[in-house]
Amino acid sequence: MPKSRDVPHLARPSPTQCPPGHFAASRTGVTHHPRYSLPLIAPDRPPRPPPARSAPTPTPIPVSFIAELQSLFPSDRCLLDDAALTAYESDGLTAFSARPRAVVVPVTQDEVVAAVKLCAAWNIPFMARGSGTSLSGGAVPVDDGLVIALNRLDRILAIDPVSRTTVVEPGLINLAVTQAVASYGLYFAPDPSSQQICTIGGNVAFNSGGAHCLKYGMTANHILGAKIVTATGEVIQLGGDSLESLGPDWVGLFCGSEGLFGIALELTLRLLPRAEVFHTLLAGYDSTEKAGKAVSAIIAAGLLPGAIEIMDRLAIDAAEAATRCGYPPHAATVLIVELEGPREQVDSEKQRLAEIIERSGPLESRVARDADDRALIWKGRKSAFSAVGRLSPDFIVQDGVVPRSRLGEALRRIDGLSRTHGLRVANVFHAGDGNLHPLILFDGSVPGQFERAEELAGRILEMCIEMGGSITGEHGVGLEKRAYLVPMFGEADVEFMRAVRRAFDPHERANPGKMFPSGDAPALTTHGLHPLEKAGILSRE
Amino acid sequence: MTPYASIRDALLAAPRVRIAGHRTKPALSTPPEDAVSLDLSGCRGLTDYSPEEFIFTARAGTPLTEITETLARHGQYLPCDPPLAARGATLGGSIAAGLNGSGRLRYGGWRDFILGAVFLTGDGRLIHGGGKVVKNAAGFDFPKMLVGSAGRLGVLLEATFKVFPLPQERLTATADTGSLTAALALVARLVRQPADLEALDFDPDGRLLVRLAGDHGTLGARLRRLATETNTPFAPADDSLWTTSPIANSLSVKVPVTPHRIPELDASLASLGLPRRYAVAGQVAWIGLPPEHTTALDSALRRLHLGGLSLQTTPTQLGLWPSPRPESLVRQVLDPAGRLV
Repeated sequence: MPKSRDVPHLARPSPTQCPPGHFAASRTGVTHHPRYSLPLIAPDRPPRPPPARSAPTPTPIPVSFIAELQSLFPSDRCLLDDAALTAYESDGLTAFSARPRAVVVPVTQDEVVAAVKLCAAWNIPFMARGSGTSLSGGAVPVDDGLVIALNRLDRILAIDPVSRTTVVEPGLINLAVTQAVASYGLYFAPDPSSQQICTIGGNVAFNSGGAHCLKYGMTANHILGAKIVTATGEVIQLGGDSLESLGPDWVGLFCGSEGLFGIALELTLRLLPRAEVFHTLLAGYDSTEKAGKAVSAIIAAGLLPGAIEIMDRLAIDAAEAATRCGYPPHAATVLIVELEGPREQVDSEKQRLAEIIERSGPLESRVARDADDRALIWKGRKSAFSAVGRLSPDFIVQDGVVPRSRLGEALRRIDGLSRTHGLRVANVFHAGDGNLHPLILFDGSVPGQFERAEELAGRILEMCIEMGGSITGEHGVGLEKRAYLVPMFGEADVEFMRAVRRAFDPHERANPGKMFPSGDAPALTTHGLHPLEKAGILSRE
Repeated sequence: MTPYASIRDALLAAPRVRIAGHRTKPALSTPPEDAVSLDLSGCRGLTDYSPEEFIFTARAGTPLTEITETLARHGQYLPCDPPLAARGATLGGSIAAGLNGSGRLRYGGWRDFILGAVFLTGDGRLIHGGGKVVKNAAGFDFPKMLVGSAGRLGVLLEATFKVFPLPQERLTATADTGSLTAALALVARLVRQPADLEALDFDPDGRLLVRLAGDHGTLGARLRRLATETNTPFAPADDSLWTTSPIANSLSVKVPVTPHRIPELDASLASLGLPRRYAVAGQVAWIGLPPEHTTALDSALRRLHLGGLSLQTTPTQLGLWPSPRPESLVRQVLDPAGRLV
């Protein structure tokens, strides 16, 4: 493996031009402003109690640490005043918040390393932050710690279309990768619903998923190399620039480590050639059971669709109201199946798919006529979560996984839990992966509803564990699910995880309080729709 | 714990241990002088396989052929196409060595299909990493860490994988481009096409080997279109070219590389007279290494800033390897006594 990274600079885009101020405009034209991650309070409703603080409070930060920070960063990239810090208190899961002592906005990798080393010298906890779209509270700051905001560390350093790789910095927006390589016929496969705004660094930290994991896997499957700075300030290159590697797969371990080892400075991404044709089918059923059986039949037939998604009635209503996506009006459930590949293969597969769907007894089914129609079908699906905000003032989204052949059973049990808790649950899920996204609807202004919703969410996670699944398919553990890590793995395995974390971060300074159970778990206190979700830009998947 | 208690006892009984399976990669399985061999070839069998889930769990010593045959009976396969299966290679040995075949091009290697692992740390703790569902973002991904770890990060006991539906048909074809330069130019075009190649290898003399996979009756048309679109006369060829050619059988050093570095690597290898093939669209070089050339290959790789894994002769690590730092950090935790060698 080369000591020096030498992906050929066959195409070297000019460095990102950041507008003045703290926040880079993304390449997608969506201006990201961290103010949007504030907890929301609807204007016509009484304010909620302040959210609980997360993570143990460390010793107050010494003034001289701040002085040194100011010597490393100019004042416009070293935020200390209350108004500026407020913007960084929460992430996409607005239930949690904590007040950092300072935020720095590095524009070079060296500045990140310097900030981490300073934290090491003063024993100050820190957290790297991208766009703050985490749905598990993973990007909630450490109380009184340092936030290292990476949005301006977002250069594309190299694109190698022959090796199908690109080297990028962690603050780059996910969708910007595909936009930068599309002219070569390539794309970056991981497509979390927030891909217009979420950053690659965050995708790596939480091993993000998306609708296409069935065929292409999660983010970790698309990261070949990572240059990281550990919590002690040591810079280490993990992996390399080839699809093949030598030695243990440290990149694989780093992906999904939730920022507990250190910070990625530079990532080598694997790119794929864009499929030649897509075939998107939408079918409506009078029961979720039938849709689930159709999924089993598709998989049993040996088809490998790019995506298989299911939405139930409540989610359909929400999506229809928000996007007029034209889903079957009387269906209890819709199924979306997307085939992709070379023309001849898709032509053959679509016959097989049509026969399976025919036999599965749908109320109706149709195939996307063209690219626009396909986009509309997907718009309905991807907007489902934000659209649910129209049905309920508050909701909790869960991310559990069950064996895919037991989806029907899982849905029946969720339905039962919904009844016993007296709360509506909308279901949207990646059926091909067994990845459930139940949305528990409640009204936080009604006494007791939030507690019931939280209890229901917990019961669903327990059910996923009991069925041999996972507490999270793609959102990560973060703050939200850390009480369920031990039930899923057991004390010994979790203790081993802690020990490995301490190998990279002996003093537990990197994003402390996340993933592992802690004595002072903050309570969820409020939920609301993210403004970007309301605008239809961001959705929870 | 019960089925693995005897393995744990054997592990803890020796100060230094080298794990072995079917010993198809002797450089990795032969114990150094002061270590004992921990033979896992008896720790075998599929322990869990639900075809409808497209997931299986097998013990480390299970021969790959047993797995691939079982999967094939249910119309499923492991897309990472592990090499040395025909010689009796085991699941655990293939993962520990991190060896993928040419078919890893399309969907990925072991790292992309492993979901869970049960392993013993060097100090005898039994750890369960990952899970048994296709999508899981909970906790650290220890299963991936074990891929390529050569047994130094734990004694892998069993592992869980996702698998894919077996293509109905495969079609191998060759094209003679006349030179390595011409082959690389063609590869550069092929990798950006939506042709969905399952495998793409080439030889230093410019002969390309491609494999298409898909539904009955579609592959001929796809190959004709590929030939037209790349203006290259691809000719159907025998599938056995992937495994039985003399060159495929003599290759024992794996060198991860990228296509643009192949010309300089090939020039070095040609001057040493070593047999070689470039696999996975130029992402890995497989080199035949007569023992007397070990030092020369080691220096050549160093000069090129490349590294190689030698499967048949020691030393196993040739050229420049990635930083050993993460391994030394993690080994302090999982093998403080340095038992796993």
